[in-house]
Amino acid sequence: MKNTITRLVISVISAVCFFSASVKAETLYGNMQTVTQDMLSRADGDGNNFLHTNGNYEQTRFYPAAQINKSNVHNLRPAWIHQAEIIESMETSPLIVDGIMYYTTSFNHVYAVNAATGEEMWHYKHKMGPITTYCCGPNNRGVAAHGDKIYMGTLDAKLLAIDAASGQLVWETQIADPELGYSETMAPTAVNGKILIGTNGGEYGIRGFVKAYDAETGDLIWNFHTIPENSVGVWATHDATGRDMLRDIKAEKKALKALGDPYKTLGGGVWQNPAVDVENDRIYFVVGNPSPDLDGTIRPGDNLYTDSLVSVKLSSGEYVCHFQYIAHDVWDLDAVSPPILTDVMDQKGTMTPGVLHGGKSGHVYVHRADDCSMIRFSEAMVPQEDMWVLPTAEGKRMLPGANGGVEWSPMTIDPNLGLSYVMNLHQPMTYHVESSPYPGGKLWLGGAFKVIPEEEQWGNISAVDYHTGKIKWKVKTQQPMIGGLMATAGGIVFTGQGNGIFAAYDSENGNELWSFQAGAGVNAPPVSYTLNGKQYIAVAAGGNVQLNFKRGNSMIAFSLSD
Amino acid sequence: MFKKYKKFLFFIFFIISTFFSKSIIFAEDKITAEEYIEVCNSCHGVNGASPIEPNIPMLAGQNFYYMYIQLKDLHSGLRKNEIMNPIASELDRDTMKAISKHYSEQPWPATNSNRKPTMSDKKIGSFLDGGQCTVCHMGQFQGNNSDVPRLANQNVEYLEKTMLDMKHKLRMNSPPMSSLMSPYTEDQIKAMAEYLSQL
Repeated sequence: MKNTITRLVISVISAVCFFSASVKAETLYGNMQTVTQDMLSRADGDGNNFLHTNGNYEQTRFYPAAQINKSNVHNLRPAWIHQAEIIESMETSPLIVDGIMYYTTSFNHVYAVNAATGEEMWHYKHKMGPITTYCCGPNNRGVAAHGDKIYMGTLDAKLLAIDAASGQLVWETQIADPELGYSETMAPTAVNGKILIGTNGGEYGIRGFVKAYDAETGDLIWNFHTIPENSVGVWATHDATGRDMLRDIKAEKKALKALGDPYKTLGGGVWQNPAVDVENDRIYFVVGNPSPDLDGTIRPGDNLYTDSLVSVKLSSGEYVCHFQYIAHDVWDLDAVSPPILTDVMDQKGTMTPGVLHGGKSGHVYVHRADDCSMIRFSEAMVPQEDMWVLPTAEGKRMLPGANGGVEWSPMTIDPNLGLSYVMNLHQPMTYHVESSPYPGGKLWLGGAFKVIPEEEQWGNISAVDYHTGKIKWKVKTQQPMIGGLMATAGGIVFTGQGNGIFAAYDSENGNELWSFQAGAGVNAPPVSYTLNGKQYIAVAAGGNVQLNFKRGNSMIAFSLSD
Repeated sequence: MFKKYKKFLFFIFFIISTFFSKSIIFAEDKITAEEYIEVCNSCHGVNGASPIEPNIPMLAGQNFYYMYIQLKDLHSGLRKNEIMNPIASELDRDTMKAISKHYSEQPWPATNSNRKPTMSDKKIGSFLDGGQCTVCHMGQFQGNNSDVPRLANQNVEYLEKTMLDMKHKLRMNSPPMSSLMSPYTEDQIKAMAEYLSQL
């Protein structure tokens, strides 16, 4: 009897979910041939397309369609597989516009494929310049779509506009000098006729930025330096969680007097997309580590705005606010995972517009959107030991290792449950410092981070209640986690692992509901779309350079078996 | 005896070969990249594929940008080498680029390193994992098509010497590599070189 009632309840829920998915499938905006600002702005409710790298301007990666849900996800099967020319690390998050999928590979190849069949429509290969300088693999994390074009940043630090219909180059512009350590692996963001893009290079002594370009012409509209000319700050002695960072402020002040402000080579890359609040003319992004990574002696001060959440005006790039997690970082435990905008509960129990960020430190930080101030930080999702012991020549062990906690991997949320889903690494390392002068655009770490081979490495998926900071559930994984997640209205969280497993978990409790062996590391963020009434889940399986997971070249789309 | 004076003899060879080149005779003419390549080949072998000494690197098929950076560093003295510093000091950036381009476009030669690793692959793998070598040198140690060199199948003596020079801070134009190499013993470095040379 109990089973019968349970089945009945599941059937009703499934029917409701399917109906709601069908409703979503009819939620079409614009003519679908041209990506309008209206479509981009309303992407959070669009169950047909996937128009932003992280799903919508808020970057929730919460997909509104529910045809694939808890009750039927076990019937998910590969619908098609498209194989790319390049067999190398895949971090791409595909976009789906009107039944066409656009995805990228390492070394800046772009594919347009029929999202129903996987049939290739065109293949664009960027003619790479002879000089490229990049850390952590020749990756690319995807394109932006706007109007009749798509946009991609390149390893040789260019921004390209490509005709979405034909795959022909429309324009390209040089963003920065690759010989000085600048490169692009992030997907751009398209909004209000602008293409926003940050830069890599925190390991090469760059001066970081976020720039806005005209989507039609490629002309520069504004440039926000992530490192201000006065980068000194307030001489913060404790991190965002209140722990003493053991800074020698006296020595730093002496160095400042002798060396001056180090802003010109202070790093501060921006690896991932900004979240956009169109209505309030604001964007939010996180800034990476200072250069050189481990040697603070030659970069006195807080090293603003490294390791920070920063908000600027969308229209002008004018500074609005920031919050620094770790001042004067000497561990490369910086801020890379893209921020998420959602309503959060403040300290008084009042719901307020908020910003979430998953840090390499292993915490989810929760902020007020208006002034960037921190409301709370979550329980630690990974072991933390000896924070913040200073690096030495011989090396000091500290947890987390320099890859995190949370690496560049985008989080996702289920706003109905108030949960953020986060992937973490546990990769013990020793931190070594060795001072060296600015090497003119070459790798500049100021020492080294070394993995401790004898120690076990693993990962986890953590569900964090962002209204309280408590961890609701955790799933431990065999290997450190890198790539990204997606939650759906079907009550599921999708994510992949370095061992090739791509799996679906129950959003409420973390139970594994389905899995598939992709044959290569699944280290890219999943996406979803609906075509002809059928919902698909898609993800790249190409492995990862940074953690040396098995390489591949597949884009795999899944749908429910008929 | 030859070993003791070989660097000096190479240097004399370089001076004589450049002295008799037409560009030196006609002093107003700039020495072309092609003429420099002839000089380079005298030690690195034809097209940089067959070095005359095992501790000289193969250049054929190496990454363009890596070689360009090395020439710049040899030019400025940031990388020290008795033979290469005086040669590189004469090069302008265009010539450095042309030389690097030439060698990068040659096929990587088949080599015949027959030094078997003195440690197990598993042990060597743990050293390479500890240094996170593949983050920059990529999965098969082919380099990154950019500023990080290919190590796979390089001359074993050159690999060993380079890593030892980094460990002992004799080669300092890539400081992070010195930091990474410092904890490894000479035996471990030897084993890593043997392993990489056979890939």
